[in-house]
Amino acid sequence: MTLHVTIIGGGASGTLAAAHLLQRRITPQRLRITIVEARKDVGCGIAYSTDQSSHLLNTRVNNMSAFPDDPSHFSRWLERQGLGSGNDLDFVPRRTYGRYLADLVAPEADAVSVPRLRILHQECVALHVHEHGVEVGLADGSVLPSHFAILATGFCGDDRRTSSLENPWARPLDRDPAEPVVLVGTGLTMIDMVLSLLEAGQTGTIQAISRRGLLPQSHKVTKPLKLSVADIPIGSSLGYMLHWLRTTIRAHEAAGGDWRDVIDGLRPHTQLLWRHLPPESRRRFLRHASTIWDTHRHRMPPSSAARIAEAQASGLLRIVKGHFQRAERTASGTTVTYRPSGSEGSLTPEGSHAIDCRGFRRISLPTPNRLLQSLLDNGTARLDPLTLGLDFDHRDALIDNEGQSSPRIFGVGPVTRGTHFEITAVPDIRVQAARLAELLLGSPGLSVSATA
Amino acid sequence: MLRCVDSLALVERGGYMMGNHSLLRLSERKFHSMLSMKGKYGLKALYHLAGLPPGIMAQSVEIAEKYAISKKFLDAILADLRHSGFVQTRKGRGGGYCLTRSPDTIMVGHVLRVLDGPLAPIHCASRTAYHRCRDCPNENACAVRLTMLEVREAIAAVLDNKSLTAMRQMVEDETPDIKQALAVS
Repeated sequence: MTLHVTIIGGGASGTLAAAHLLQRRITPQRLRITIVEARKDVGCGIAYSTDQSSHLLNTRVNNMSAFPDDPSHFSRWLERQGLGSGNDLDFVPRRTYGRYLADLVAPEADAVSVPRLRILHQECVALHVHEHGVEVGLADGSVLPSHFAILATGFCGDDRRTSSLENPWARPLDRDPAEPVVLVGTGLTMIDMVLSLLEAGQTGTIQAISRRGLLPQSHKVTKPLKLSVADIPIGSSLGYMLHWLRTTIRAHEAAGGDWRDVIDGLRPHTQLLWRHLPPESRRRFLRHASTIWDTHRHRMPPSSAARIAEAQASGLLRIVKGHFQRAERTASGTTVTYRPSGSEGSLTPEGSHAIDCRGFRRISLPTPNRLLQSLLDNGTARLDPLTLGLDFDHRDALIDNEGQSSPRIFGVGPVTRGTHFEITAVPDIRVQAARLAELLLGSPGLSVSATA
Repeated sequence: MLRCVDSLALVERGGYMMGNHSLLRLSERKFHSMLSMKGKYGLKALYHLAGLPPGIMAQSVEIAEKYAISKKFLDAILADLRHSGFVQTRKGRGGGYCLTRSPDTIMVGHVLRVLDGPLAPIHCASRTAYHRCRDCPNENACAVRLTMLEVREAIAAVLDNKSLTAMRQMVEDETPDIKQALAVS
């Protein structure tokens, strides 16, 4: 029999899931994968569709292979494309990585009459689970019968639709580089926007506003500490955990190491850590510690850091501590209202553009994603307690509103953020995709659930 | 968790962020078991709290008497458990200690890391409480260490999947006389 798997979403997560299913040693007759993606480009998603060469990957080449057990897969691909520099510690442009991902799901050269993978440029609007599988409903009314469905919908909707701020990933507009620009948020998205503006010859001031005004730290070549889960006080409260982290970093630095070694040593364990963190501590983490964590965990390439520092020194870029309140479109641009930290009054700088660089946050209902809204409406899915995404169990099976894990619907990538938290970067998603491929293709119930 | 015949190592080691319980460390020297007295009593106290009906608190004197633990020692252990977020206290009438969350989300491994330090059968099998044997020429080629690294993972796998609820269930599943034995040991 043939196993049908439908992947909903063709961004980086969906592509990685497909690549890992294809990579399993399974005869072509036995596997059919369908990626349902309304956008034209498959593989790119939000992260890798940027066409700007200044937008670099925030991870080195040697850690960006699609396959965790084949670390040089990406650098070999770069070589074949004539893009390799021979240095695996480089940071390459994100659009290059988008092409790599698209290549992973490109038609196979030795394809049999029916290829194992197809891409449907459609919107998925419903999933109906029945005894032998799941019916994938598409916007044109057709239904795709599958054995399994994998949700790879990324960061699903957010609570900013009413905002007058601009989407950072929209195509750059024709604008006068002498006009000032206001950026809300000072994370990695802000870094990308500043680099784009500099590339376009920006001469007007750039003001970037965030609560604490913290910039991402810069990468350095690290020697990650080989921490075992046995070393980490999982399950303790956030306060205890942070104290442990600070103590460990201090001890490591006293021994001549770098704090990055400790943070990177934690990386293989962050999902487990999140799972064992008490619910109250998770809430507190999001409120009080996530900014600090993100700026240390999600770092920028040193070349970007140097250009940002230069722009700050020349006065072109100003980082401002303040609480964003609202933005209003005016005839000449956008006025942003914010309250500077430690003050009562508000300031209202105006820019020709005001761009939202706050990153992805929580889901607010109703979500603009029709599929997710329908799953929530009919009780097939529920939000995780912190509304970061949908609720999945630790094997990435979707949990319904009665707390039952679905045997048919799974998730990969940022849609599972409530369960894993650190599931936004390729090195984390590829491990999840590998795990899922093993779960589905090794699934013992398959032979009895044949519908084909 | 670290248990080592090397008495110097015993004096040097401690929990993650514990105070100076020199009394405790001296008493530990007599034991070469995997679990320190502190870990053992801490688990017993949590086991007791896990059996309380919701909203009911237990006083430390009550736990100390039931399990024959010195109250001073138990109070120190409960203070550590409070700092690490496993128990909370309320003062006054009806006050005492209770768990901060459901006992099925508190794993034995969580508690022992806080009370006894990293789960590791030998010092060189821990990164954060790392301590090289004095007679070790090459730890990467040490067969004992490599074996103990595997043991460490196995210990974590058992202890991180055993909740306080599961502990209570185990006791309920056993015969009453073993239940009796556990209560007085």
